Amino acid sequence: MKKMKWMIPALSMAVVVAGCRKDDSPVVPTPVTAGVYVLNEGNWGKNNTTLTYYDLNTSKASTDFYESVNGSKLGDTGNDILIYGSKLYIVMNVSSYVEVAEAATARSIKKIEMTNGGSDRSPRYAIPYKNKVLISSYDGTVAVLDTASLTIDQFITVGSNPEQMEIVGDKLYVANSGGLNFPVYDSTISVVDLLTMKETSKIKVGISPVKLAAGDGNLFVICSGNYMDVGPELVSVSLTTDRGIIRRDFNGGAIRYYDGKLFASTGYGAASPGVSVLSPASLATTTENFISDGTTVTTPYGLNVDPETGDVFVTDAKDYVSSGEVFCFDKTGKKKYSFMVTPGIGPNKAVIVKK
Amino acid sequence: MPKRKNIFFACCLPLVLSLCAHAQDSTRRTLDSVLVNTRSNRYDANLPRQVLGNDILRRINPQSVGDAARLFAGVLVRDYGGIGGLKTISVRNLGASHTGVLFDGIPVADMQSGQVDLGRISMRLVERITVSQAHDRTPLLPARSYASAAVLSVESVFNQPDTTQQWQWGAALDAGSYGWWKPSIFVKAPLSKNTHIGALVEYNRSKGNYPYHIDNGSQSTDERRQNADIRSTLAMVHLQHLFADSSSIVSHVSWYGSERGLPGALVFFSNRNTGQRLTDNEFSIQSVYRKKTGSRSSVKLAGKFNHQYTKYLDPYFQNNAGYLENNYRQFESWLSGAISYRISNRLSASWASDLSYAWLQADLSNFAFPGRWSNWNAGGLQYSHHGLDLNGLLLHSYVHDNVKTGTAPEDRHALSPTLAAGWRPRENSPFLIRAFYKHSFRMPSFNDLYYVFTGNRALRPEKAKQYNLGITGQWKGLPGNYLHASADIYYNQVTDKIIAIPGQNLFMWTMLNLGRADIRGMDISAESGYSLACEWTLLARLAYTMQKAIDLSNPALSTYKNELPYTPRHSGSAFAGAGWRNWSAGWTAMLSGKRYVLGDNHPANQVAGWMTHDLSLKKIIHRQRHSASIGLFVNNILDARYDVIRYYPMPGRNYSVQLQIQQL
Repeated sequence: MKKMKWMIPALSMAVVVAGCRKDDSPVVPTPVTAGVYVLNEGNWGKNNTTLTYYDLNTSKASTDFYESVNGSKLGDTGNDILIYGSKLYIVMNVSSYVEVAEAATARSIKKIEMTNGGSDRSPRYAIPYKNKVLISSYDGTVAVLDTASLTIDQFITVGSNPEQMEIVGDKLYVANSGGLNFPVYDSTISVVDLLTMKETSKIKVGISPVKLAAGDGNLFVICSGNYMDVGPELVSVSLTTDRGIIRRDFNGGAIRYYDGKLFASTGYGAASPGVSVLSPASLATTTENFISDGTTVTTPYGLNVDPETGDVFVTDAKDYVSSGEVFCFDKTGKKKYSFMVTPGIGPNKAVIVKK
Repeated sequence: MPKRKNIFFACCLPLVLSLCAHAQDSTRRTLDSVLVNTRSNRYDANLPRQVLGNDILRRINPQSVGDAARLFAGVLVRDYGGIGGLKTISVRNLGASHTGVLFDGIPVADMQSGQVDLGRISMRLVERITVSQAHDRTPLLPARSYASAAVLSVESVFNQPDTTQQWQWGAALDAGSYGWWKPSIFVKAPLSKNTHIGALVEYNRSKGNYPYHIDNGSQSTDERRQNADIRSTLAMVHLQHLFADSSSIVSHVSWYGSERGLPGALVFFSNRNTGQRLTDNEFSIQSVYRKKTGSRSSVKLAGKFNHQYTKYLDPYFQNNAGYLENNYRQFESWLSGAISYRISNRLSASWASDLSYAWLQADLSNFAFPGRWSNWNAGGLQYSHHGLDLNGLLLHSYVHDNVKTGTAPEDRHALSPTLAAGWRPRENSPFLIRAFYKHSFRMPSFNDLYYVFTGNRALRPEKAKQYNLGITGQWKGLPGNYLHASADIYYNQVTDKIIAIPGQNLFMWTMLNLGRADIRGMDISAESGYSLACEWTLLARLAYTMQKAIDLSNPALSTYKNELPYTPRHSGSAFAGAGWRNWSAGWTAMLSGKRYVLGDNHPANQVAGWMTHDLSLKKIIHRQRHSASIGLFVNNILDARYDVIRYYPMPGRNYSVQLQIQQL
């Protein structure tokens, strides 16, 4: 606890500063029209996580939008971004906090420190649920953040090094990657009853589950494998019937379910990078390349679907150390627009700002 | 353009000082243009070389060889801050792995990382440090020393044959800011008329808790470095024997142990103690046998065994065990033979062959347990006549790896030619015009090839081509009065550059031969010394580098044709020292221009340049064979806030004192 002493004044200062800015900040809030926020994770140890705002009217991308609004940088390795209600949540993995900002302006409201005693919890992903935001952290917990009070109600203990989450009804599914437990990873999905906020069971899937999608009564899981003899695979678990598990070898980067289709971006080192469409029932590939107009995405990284329009956002991490790019495709796989996030590195998620 | 002014000031000051000093004494107004013996001078050679001698080293009192190396032109020291922080050097932007390191003529190597941490080489008993481009031209060097693109050579007092028949001893105590204590003691004694023994013990400890500033706009804070402490002990025993036929054998046993914190990069909003610790234990034994085998030839045989144990501990690692501990053991056995032969007055030849076997053990799952046989053979010819000096050297490197798990990579062969020419317009001209070409390789390190996840066994050696054209001049007047100056322009090409590409998540990076870099630059260095009336002496030194290193790896990326990270266009150093009777004082300035910290040359990735000033004052008292001295040092006197590697802050203004007594 001794180490933490300095944090108390530092953090209260931060809160005071953030609190003051609401009233007498010299920065005039920029009114934000409908656009896209992109979280660029940056590189580990370089404090270069940035936020891009792409304005759909002017077709201009501004990076680092967060810094230009707030006068400070986000920090190190932003892993996930979420808009829920009027707020924007940015999950900072290495800086180990959750940024809460106004969705319309990106103006900071609060930084929620994710620590446990003297050590970082290292948060990874966030998902909304009934006025709460659930945050998975590498320390094996899911935090329940109240979106009104912006305090953490409780921590739910799950498996090791949890990554993505999905919610179906009042059940939360958490991918327990065990990614820091080389060579014996975790291979389960934690099932949490959100009415009691307790883990009720675990589903065994494949080695090191990381990414999740849900739809058609199924949970789709990308398992990384063990980087040795077991390769990456895609697993489908039926949540409604007891048909068991369907699996196929699949080097997938990210998966999203939308409108009866399963979209999957290629994983690391794929021969022909792109986005394919799979059948949710059989996991068989129905469309080899979703991108139908010949647009090339060098290194697909993040994959999102706008639930209202069906637009598919693909972020391009390039070589992970130079400026990335973001592509928006319509339902048919034709490019609507694209923009560079310069100097943002490793864009990993695009979220739509509605107004 | 205030920065320009700084550069101008830094460049001109030593010259101005020299000129003023010179004008004071009219009897020394004319500098004699006397050709100096090539062996004793510091800059005059076909291959560019720079020397830092005892005269300057004593006054700046660097904490390690890594700190001293910052005074060389063309050398960038990657300094992660603090006494325990990693310090590696990159010569002419070729990268640390292309720089060979010699200690008393014996290669110092780290097969695991391919880079030597110069923060660990003690400055105690160091007589001089030399940086040579292409290779060092000291006769009878091992073949391995020709393998790198540049060589940093450290020579200790033990490198010179000892003939004194009296006991010598010395004790020193350094103490300074942030809990720094460094006591040391050395003894040299004659065991018989022709046998001498020497020993050195040095203990070093530092808390390293220096203050720094986190610059994050409205969220900026002032902090102190945490977990940056170090404790280390060095013990060395040296034995030499001169045989009746004037051949000699010199043996060296050394042990270095250290335990330090790894403070890591500062992380915004999570600037907690990382808790990570590193423990090292290194033992080495080396022997060198030299013999003059006739009027025309000499031979040298050398051998070394080295064992390095490293333990890494992360007490907050988020696995099921709740911590991570890795243990590594690195071993190397090395043998070398070298011969030189003077064929005629104009032509001489040399040959060196080295054989080494290195292996690495680690308590990592699925670890490769690599072993490596290396064989280097180098043949050289030297021709000198009428002011023309030509050198050619061809090195053949062969590497064979074996592994316990998986398949070993293919054997690797590489030929490294070096061609150098020097030409003096007239026999007694102070000027020498020089040019060289070298094509060298760096073999992938064990980490590059076998590190779990990231290692890639298909890696090829990284290639570096160097072209250099330069001029050097020297003038020597009365004893103690001299001026050396040299200027070189160069073009380097790095292909098959080994770079790490991060993967889909935190655990999957991989090493690939993807990079290509073009480096153009100019190095300027000068040193001048003057002895004046009334026991005044002056010494000035200047090093300046202008370079442009660009990334030509992939035209599709935003980094294409951008400057490489951490390659300032302008960098340099200046030293000025004055001595009067038993007093000496020194001023050192270090300068780095603005540079980019990432490959994307966007303004957001640019950091401002920095300049630091250090001052020293020393008084020495001699009583027959005894002497005592006290030195006061103020480093970074203007308290510049800077970092060499972004988010690894460097200390601000700090102080140290050195007390020394010795009997020589």
